[in-house]
Amino acid sequence: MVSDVAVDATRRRLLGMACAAAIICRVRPAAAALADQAPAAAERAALVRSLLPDLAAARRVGSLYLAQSPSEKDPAVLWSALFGGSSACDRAACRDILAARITADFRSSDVLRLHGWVVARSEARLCALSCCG
Amino acid sequence: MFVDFREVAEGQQFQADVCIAGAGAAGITLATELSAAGLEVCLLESGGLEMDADTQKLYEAGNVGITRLPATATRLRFFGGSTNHWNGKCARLDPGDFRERSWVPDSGWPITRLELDPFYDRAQPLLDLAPSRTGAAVAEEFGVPRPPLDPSVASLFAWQLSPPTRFGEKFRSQLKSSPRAHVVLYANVVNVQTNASADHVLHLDIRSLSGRSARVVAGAYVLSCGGIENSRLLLSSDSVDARGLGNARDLVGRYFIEHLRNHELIALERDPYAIQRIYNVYQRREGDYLLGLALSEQVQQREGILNAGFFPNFERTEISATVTAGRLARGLLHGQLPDDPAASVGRVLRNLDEIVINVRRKLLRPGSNLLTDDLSILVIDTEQAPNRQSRILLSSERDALGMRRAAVDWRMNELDRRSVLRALDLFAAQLWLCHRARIHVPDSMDNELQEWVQNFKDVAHHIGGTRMADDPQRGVVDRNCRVHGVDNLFIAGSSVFPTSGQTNPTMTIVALALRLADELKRSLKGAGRSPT
Repeated sequence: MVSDVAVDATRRRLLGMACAAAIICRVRPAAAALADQAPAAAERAALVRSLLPDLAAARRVGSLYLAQSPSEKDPAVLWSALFGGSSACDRAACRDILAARITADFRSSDVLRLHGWVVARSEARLCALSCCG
Repeated sequence: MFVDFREVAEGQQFQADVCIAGAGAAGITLATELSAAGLEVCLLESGGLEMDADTQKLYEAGNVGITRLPATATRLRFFGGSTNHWNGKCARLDPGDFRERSWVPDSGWPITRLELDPFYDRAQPLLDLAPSRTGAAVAEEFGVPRPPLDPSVASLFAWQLSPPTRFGEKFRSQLKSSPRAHVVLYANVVNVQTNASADHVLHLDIRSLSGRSARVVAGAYVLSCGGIENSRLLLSSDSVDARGLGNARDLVGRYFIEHLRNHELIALERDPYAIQRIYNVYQRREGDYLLGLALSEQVQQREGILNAGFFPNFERTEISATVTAGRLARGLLHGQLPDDPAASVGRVLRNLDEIVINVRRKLLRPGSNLLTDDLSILVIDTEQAPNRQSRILLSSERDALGMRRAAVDWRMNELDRRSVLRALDLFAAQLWLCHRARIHVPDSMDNELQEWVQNFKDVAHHIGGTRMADDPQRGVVDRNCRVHGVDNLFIAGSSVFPTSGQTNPTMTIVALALRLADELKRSLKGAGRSPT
């Protein structure tokens, strides 16, 4: 019935391709207070880069997302959607917020398909932010 | 008793209480039930006991729609029908599949799951299935860790795996020894002849490829020729009404649907065995189960989508390194080397961790299937929306018997597309939440409808064409599978399903055949015939 699946790559080879790695944020618990001030553009870009293991891949994913959601091309809009009214610029705090948002997205099935990968909307937005910096 | 129609004297007339056209799962179930109840049964089969090319060619059909449907390869035209090559996956339709759903036009059966349950119970042993279990019960029985699924979205679902039962082999001796069952091989029904008002069948015209012809006269007639052929035969029987038999409302052949299956879904997990450890085949002496996921009724309603199931490609265990190691060990014991020893040994050495895990798994959880250190390939089966434009027609081409061939215009619509995509999203979200598994779907899934349909092939679940409805304006047969307006003509098989659910159709085909058998026993007894 389904034995003709034409996939000859092993799991390890596919993992090696890492085509999806860029959109999988590595989020770890961390405790940090949020800063009061909105981060400057350069600071924000650096922060976003630090959250993404593969910037080039993230930009490809991000541009796909922006093509689907052109109203979010403004980095302020994306930042606000990811981090709310808070002006976080602390990496650990951002990771915490992102982790919670991604889980909430999957819980509410707020997901989309980019390059074939099913990703949480917040993951896609983070990638999109990397295109705006 | 078996008769080869090619060797019967020309002009002979067959007589029976019930004549059944087509010896597949439905026809054989009916014949065994009715003959055991003391009714004289004539079971007509187009082919013989083995497949032959000339008979199989009678199944050739044209394709009108954009989606190709290889109608010859997916069906078998000899005793036992398509059970001669099915893979045995069984499940009952969900209760919600029978209900009218406001977001699914033309949905709803005139019967409920509750009414069909006693017949599903009787179908279990015919299909050689283990006792029916919920997904949760199977998980508990085999000690499978329960994933923390959101029950309002999806739950564990257990399919049952038939050996698979070959109906022709299983029931051949029973029918052969029955004095009341007359199985006529190489007998093709070419016409259903009614009276002038087309409300009563007078006889069936049968013909062999060798040119012999005859009539069968019976009290009741059942067409169980398959999802496409039932419509084709009604449309072809046009000597009284040019629109075909039972087709005054232009419904015969319409609402033809399939399951929308895609088996190119890949799961990447941080733990390479996270998916397989749960979603897998579980074996017990009475029969096997397959654990997967099914959408909840709640989420179908909330999202306005069709039903869908999600399960692993359970045939991939064959590529497990553990299987390779077993073969190597057995071969060495017998002094034989595999065809490619270096590759086999390399595969085993590279995957020693998998072998250790499997040995431990087999010791701790007997009956659990093997894990394989390879990609987890998943399959989605989605219900297709009832679609009046999707239909079986008659082609202008004729087969060797002079009958017009079927032409299939299989179509999909936006509800189908939206349902498949949303179901993928929903399942993927649950797999991420439960197993941190990331799902990849083919890029072509996001195509527009015209190209999107190419993601799906015929999976041999030919459903609809003579759909069931109480209202003759909405269906070809009534709740008892009797053709509206024809008092002694019945249809058996998946062509009567108004909707498909997400599960394979065979179990429901057999359950409905058992229900029809009971109805025929009652009605023929009332008409003066006396089943014992």
